[in-house]
Amino acid sequence: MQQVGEKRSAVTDFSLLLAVKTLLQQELVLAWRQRGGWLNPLFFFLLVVAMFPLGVSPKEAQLKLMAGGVIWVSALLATLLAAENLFKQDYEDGSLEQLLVSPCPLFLVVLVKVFVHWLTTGFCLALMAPFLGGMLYLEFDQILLLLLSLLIGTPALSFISAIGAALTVGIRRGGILIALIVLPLYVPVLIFGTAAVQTVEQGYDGFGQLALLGALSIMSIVLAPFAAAMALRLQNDA
Amino acid sequence: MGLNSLYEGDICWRGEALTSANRPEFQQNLLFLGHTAGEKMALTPLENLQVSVALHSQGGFEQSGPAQGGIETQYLYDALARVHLKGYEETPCQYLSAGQRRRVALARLYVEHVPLWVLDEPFTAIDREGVAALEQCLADHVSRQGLVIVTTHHDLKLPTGYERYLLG
Repeated sequence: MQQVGEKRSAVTDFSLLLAVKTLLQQELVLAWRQRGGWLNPLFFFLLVVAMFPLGVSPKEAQLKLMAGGVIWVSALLATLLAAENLFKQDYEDGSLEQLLVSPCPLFLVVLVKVFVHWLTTGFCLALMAPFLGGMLYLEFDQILLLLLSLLIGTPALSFISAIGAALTVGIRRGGILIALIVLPLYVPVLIFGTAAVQTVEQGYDGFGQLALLGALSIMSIVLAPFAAAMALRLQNDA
Repeated sequence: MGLNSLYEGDICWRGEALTSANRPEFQQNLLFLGHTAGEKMALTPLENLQVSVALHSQGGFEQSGPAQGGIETQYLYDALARVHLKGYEETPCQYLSAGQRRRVALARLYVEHVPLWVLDEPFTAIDREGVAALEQCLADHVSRQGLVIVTTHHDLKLPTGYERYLLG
């Protein structure tokens, strides 16, 4: 029997590499064309941190003490703000359905999406942090550790938020629900992140905290895509 | 198909019931177009088509296309021309009309050569000429031993001589 596609010869198989590459390209192009979406949380981050000297006290000693915590909490809230948009558009325009019927494993799709999402949030937040740290009178080595802790810790924030975003994708205003689901999971990251900055101040090197942050990040990069993929399938089942 | 697991009975493909284990293999043979077509508004028709093809299927190209290096864009241009989107290949979809967006999705029918097509109301927002072309496209697919499952309110005018089952 004549097979479909024989008329047009050379049926190339579905290629995972090509799929992932194209998806990555798409996500990057989309991120570039829809800059507003991810620049907003960055501005939010900047504004929140800038408000603290005005609201609390402009004194060097006090600002220095809380700078690490303030920047980390603001970064965390900014990530949360950005999380809502992670799968929203895909859900609304039907491309999520297309991803579900694709032979490409869903966890890989999630991995690519969250990675690009991290590039536009966590990574940018980390790059902004040294300037804000300087503004809040942090010393050079503290700023360095702040940068490192954010670079190592924000992937955990992004990947954990992907679970929340996937679970709430079908809900019209899921923002606050994402926060409820995700915030408890953020707590360890926050604790080790701020602790890293504080230990430098106390004269230790803070690498223990960084190592723990790294462990949290790796764990969430490995596990969260599967959880989020499951959640996305569930959302579409109903 | 991978969208919904809440159905009764079995879905069989080539004599085997679908499970989550053989689903990817089945999905390689499937082209599904739903209500919402899955176009990204910020991407151009060409880019949208590229993504669909890469994510879904082989895209069996004529004359042994060099598929290793990526997707042969010429075939994508051809497909877009066949759905009358010539000249709009590089216009972001947000500037296109509903019918044009719909046709971006339909262009996939001309590039991805998979046996099973599942189409949900493919005729919406398509003009009369487009309807005729789409009917022809479905007929061609069937004549290549392909399967088409289609839901439609439109009165399908297919040439006779094909096996046709009306369900529901």
